[in-house]
Amino acid sequence: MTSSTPAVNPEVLRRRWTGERVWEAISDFWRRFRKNRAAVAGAVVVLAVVWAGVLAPWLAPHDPTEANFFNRFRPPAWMEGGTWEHPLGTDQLGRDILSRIIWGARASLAVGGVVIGFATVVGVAMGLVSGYYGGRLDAAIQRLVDILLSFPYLVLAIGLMGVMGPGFVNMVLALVYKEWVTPCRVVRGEVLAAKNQEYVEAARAVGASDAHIMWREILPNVLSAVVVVATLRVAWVILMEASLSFLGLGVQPPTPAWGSMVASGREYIFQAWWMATFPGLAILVTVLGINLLGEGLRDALDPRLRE
Amino acid sequence: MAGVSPEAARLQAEPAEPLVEVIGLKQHFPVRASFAERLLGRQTRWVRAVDGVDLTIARGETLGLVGESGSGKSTLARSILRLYEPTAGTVRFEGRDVTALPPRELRPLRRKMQIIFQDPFASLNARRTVEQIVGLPLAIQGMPRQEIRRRVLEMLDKVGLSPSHIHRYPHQFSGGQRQRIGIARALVVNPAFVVADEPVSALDVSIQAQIINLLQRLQAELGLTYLFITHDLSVVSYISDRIAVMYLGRIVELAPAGDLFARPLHPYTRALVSAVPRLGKRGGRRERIILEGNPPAPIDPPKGCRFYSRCFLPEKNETCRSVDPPLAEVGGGHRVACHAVAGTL
Amino acid sequence: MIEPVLEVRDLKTHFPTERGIVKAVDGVSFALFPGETLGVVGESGCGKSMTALSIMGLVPRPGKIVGGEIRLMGENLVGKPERELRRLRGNRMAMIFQDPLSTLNPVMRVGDQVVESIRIHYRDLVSGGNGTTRLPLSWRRSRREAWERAVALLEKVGIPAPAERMMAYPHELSGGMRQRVMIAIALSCNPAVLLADEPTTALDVTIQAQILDLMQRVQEEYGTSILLITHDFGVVSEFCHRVMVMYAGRAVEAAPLDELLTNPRHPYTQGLLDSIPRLGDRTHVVRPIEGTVPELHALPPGCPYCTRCPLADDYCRQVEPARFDVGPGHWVACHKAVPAGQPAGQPEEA
Repeated sequence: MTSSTPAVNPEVLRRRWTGERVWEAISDFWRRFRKNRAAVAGAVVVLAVVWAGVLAPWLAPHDPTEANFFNRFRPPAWMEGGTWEHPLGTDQLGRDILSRIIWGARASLAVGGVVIGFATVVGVAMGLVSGYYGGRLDAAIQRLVDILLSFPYLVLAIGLMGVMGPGFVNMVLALVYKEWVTPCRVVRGEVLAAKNQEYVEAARAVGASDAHIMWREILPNVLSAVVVVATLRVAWVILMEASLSFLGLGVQPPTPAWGSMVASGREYIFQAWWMATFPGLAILVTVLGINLLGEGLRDALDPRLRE
Repeated sequence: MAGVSPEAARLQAEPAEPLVEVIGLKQHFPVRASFAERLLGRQTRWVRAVDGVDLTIARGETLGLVGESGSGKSTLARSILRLYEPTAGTVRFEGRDVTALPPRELRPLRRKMQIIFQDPFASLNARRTVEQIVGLPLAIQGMPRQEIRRRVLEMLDKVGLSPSHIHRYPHQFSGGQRQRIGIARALVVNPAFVVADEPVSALDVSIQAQIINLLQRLQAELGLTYLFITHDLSVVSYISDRIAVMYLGRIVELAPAGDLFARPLHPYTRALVSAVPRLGKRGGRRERIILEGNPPAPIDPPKGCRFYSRCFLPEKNETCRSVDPPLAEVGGGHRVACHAVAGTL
Repeated sequence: MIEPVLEVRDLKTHFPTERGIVKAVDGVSFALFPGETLGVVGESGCGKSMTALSIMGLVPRPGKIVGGEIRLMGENLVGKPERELRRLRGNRMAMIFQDPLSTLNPVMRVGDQVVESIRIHYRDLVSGGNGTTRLPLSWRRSRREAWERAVALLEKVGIPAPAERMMAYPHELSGGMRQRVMIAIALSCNPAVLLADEPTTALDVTIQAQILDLMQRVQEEYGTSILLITHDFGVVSEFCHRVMVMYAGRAVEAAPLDELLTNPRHPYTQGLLDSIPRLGDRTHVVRPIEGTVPELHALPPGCPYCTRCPLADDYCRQVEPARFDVGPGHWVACHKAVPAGQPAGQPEEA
């Protein structure tokens, strides 16, 4: 008990500061994450979609915009009249559906990623400040949130795009305009719960600044909620993108997007069901995969659940 | 006066240098009125958690603060540390008025006044390692990492944890070990004054004793001054030099530890002391004073003596109901706020 | 010879977990006699609450009673179907918990909760067991009777203005009052056995005194047998006739109260008593038990206490001690507490 400095090899401790500790954290995370089969399956799906989007020029068998009038409404390969030239068939302009789905992943992921990225940064900052300081600032932010929440999402997005005009950038703006509300609400709630915890009081008792308490003490505790909400909302945003594209406001033709593919396929649903079905399935599987991944992340990120 | 204990005599003979002085401290919290009440123009009501406390804590002593839930003992501690902004009154630490300091000047002072919390689970951030938790106060001072690590290891050793624990997270420890982490965090900045807010209440009996002994050893080694808050009279009688009894935001009795239990004067203290279940034979039961009812809510407390509604003394009368009894010295450093006992009826 | 009201023999309640089987209760035996209070003492995780829940048939999933007998007035409860247990629960035995706020229904008036309990058991009484049922004259009448009985019960447990308090919701009552309501509900059917799991731990000292006082009066009036589970030796020594000490799922010592306090034989009991500060007695030096309770799924093969015991040797670490009688009504499960020469499977003999 009386030894002044415990005998620890300082070399060991020093090395652990850098990459090694990060690597340890990652491998620790992975060990816990992979126990959850559903989450791993979700991650595989999400990774597949991401790779499909990134490698689209090399993966897609055809140019997604190349029309061929002699090849219209060709059914999937396993049906009568189908060819392996177009495994999932062709659309009303004779474009290859598989190639369009692969290229369409780009639009979905780009919108989902960019919108959620912006919305999370804005929402987390607003939620932290709102929950931590409380009072008038909190009231002001929360009334704004209430107002935004009272508009149906799609109606608000359509209205905004009506003003700004269609297109990718405008779609991102229109979606971020409301999307930040979700992380803001979640973070504020978590902050309200966390800020009365004794560990926050303990940090204040040693003279920690508000900024330190918000970013270093509280944020790590709400981060897993943020990650989960963000992943789950990506799925939602992809659906919104699909809806807007379906309505002709989002990604403009001839650029392929899953939503607009479903929209145009709808007209031919009785003669060429595959036109709407396969992009619809792509949306479904992607959204499902993201949800499974999000839940797996939540469980794996919580140190309290660690052994 | 007869029966003055030796420790009381010592305290009286050489008044130790006061480390913390609390003068007329009040901590009121507004009760949020409902919308309907505000429409009706009802005035804001106040919870008078701490309502006029005077207290002096000498350097090197352990002052025990006992009281039941809602008595305001934890609030008092947090007001002294200025974790709350006091409504009124002054807190002096080493002669400096803490209540008047701007935040910038308060920060260095915070290092000298630390707190150990009750809940060894809630008081440690689950997302941070032991090193980050214990090293936080040092990191705030801008100490270099290597130096922080050295100090943290030193501190872990002092509180009986192993150096290999430094990279672990709180949930990997038992309750007693977590409390050691909390103690290490409080002591790593070499504070002079430590508030221990129910530090052993959440722990098992055998672990309680480990922590009590640790706190005593650290006090001797580091020359600490403790304000030890608890509802457990046995623990407080064991560790304290002097004990203050709180009831509804007020100190009703203050005396050297031995004296308080040998000669409790305030009717509330008498009931409290008699209510503590003690080890001993079942047959030889002491007479227990069973208090009627519950303490009144600290919202708009009664005007006179706060204990009036539950007081069982035959002497109680109109004066008690209307005049607030002061905390009066009755000899041997024993002070009590009761008209009947202090003879101020 | 007086028959025990409740007899527990070699009770084993185990929880299968990912990391192994947690033996929450492992071979506990005791008897509870009419009108007596048996204290069960131990630290968190020692299995004292799980013992009570096992008796009530309320072991939470995935836990299961895997062995032993629980005899309530001669009837074995282990393996009984839930329906029958439900009838016994409340009629012959009742339980009160540490936190009455979480056991009372927050959206029901306390009066209705007491009335409900009375009526459930009243119906069981009149329709009891076989077909010789005589149902109450009218539903309304039974309801009014039950209401009046509830008011009387609340009065009995010392609730002031009981008729008005019947209309209160649990959150409108203080902790002490809520515990009184719980006791009233427990008494509503005049049980033979009352299991009290840390009934005063959440309460202030002065309120604790009120509740203990009440329980004592109830016992004197109804002759109820009480199993009092607590971690507080002070409460035990003021309230119990006999004490059983538990550690890591096992009972390690039991004795009449005075005998246990003056002549504790198990090193754990001794350690516990040494680690408690005595009120107003600063000459009693507190001596903690070093170390912590081992993980319940990875107990040492021998004596469960061997990891913290100052007397433990290799034999203790390998062979689990059996019970040895060391005095009238006093037994202990410790190799070291047995006087020399007694046949206790000592290594020299083997």
